[in-house]
Amino acid sequence: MSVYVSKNGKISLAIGEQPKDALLFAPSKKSSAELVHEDLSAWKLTNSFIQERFAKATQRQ
Amino acid sequence: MAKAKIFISSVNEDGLKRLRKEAFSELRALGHEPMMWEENLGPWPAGTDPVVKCLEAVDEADIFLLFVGQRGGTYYKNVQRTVTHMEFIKAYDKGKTILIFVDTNVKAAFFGGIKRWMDEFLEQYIDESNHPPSPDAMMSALKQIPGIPGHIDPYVWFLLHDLSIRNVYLDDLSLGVTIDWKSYFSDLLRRGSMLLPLQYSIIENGKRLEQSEEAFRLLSELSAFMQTSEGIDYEAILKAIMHKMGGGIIEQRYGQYMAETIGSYKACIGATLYVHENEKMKFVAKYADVAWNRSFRLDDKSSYVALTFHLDKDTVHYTQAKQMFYCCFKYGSFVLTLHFPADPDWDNRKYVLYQESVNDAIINKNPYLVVLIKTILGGYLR
Repeated sequence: MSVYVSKNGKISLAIGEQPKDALLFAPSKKSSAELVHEDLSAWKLTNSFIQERFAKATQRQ
Repeated sequence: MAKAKIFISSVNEDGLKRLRKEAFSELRALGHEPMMWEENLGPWPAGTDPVVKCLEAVDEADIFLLFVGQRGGTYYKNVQRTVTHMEFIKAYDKGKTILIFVDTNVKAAFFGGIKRWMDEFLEQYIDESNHPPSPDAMMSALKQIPGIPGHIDPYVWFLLHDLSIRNVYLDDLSLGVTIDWKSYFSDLLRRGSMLLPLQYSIIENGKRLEQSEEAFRLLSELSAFMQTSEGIDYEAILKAIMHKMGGGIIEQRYGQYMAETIGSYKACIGATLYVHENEKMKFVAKYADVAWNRSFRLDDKSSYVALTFHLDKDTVHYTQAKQMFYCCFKYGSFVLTLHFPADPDWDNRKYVLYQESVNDAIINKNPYLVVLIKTILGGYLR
């Protein structure tokens, strides 16, 4: 992802050496809502997988 | 290579002696490390409490193997338990793999009616006395019931009842019939092998639970500041949020394979809150000693507050001159900024190289917490 720099009242891509007082930034790729959504899906999926495995492993034959 | 340590426990009764000996020999022949009183535990120096030593051995074992026959064993009046029972409790408490074999006749009598009688007795006793009966009281009562096999020590029923309450599986033990330990342990290996690969998923789910719990705690704290008669206590809200934002390490991840530590950042030292009003970002509140302005123009390109509002995305800003990461969250008309000091080895070049890792470490450390904070910003504080 590109990094931007704010200097002299302008925003540009941060290419090359930057002054020490420059403000550098790069917006996050995903929003926290997207991350939570993905994480909750993964959580549910692994939970059902764990439950399924434990059911098989604890089944007496 | 480490061997499986198996503690063999049972009452020292004639019917079980051969079985114990066979189990010990076969488990050792299979390459395991069985531990048993008459073979390789004790004797200990005079003055040593053998019960303590046995319980230490249970703690040391990986697997706890218990045979239950017709005798209750040595009863310690002061703790109202037998040694065998205490060994089981220790194994259960320490989360050991527990394997229990119970004489089939004893098991049939227990599940055939004694268990139900004990359940009812317990319920009635607790109803009347508001506390459970002592083992002594339970055993006295058991002795009075007609039809209970008199040759079986009443403590056996008490022990089995405790095992059943704890949902421990009871295998059949037919005295005189040799247990096929090879097959038994092969099945145990099969079952364990199914669970070992779940390690990563279980650890990940544990982390998610911790993150959610952290967010839930913050919600509980914040709710107290949003219902006061004097309006919303913004400073207290910022303080609560700031204290939830610890420092951490910043890692460069190489997919699922590994992570390399790039640097670190310190815990949040202050927070500010601005709101969009009349084409400006107007100061609402701050917590701790951090720089602030009454307002920023929306076109102020040097303001991380104004920039974040325009970007409409959560953003970490960095300045080498101040050695600071400014983590800005935008929701609705609000921009919340948290100030995290960067460790001294950070500079512009390093930030440009690893900005994605910085975002991951600071913004994405606990997405549940961030979503909660945004909900507060967009909902309650609107």
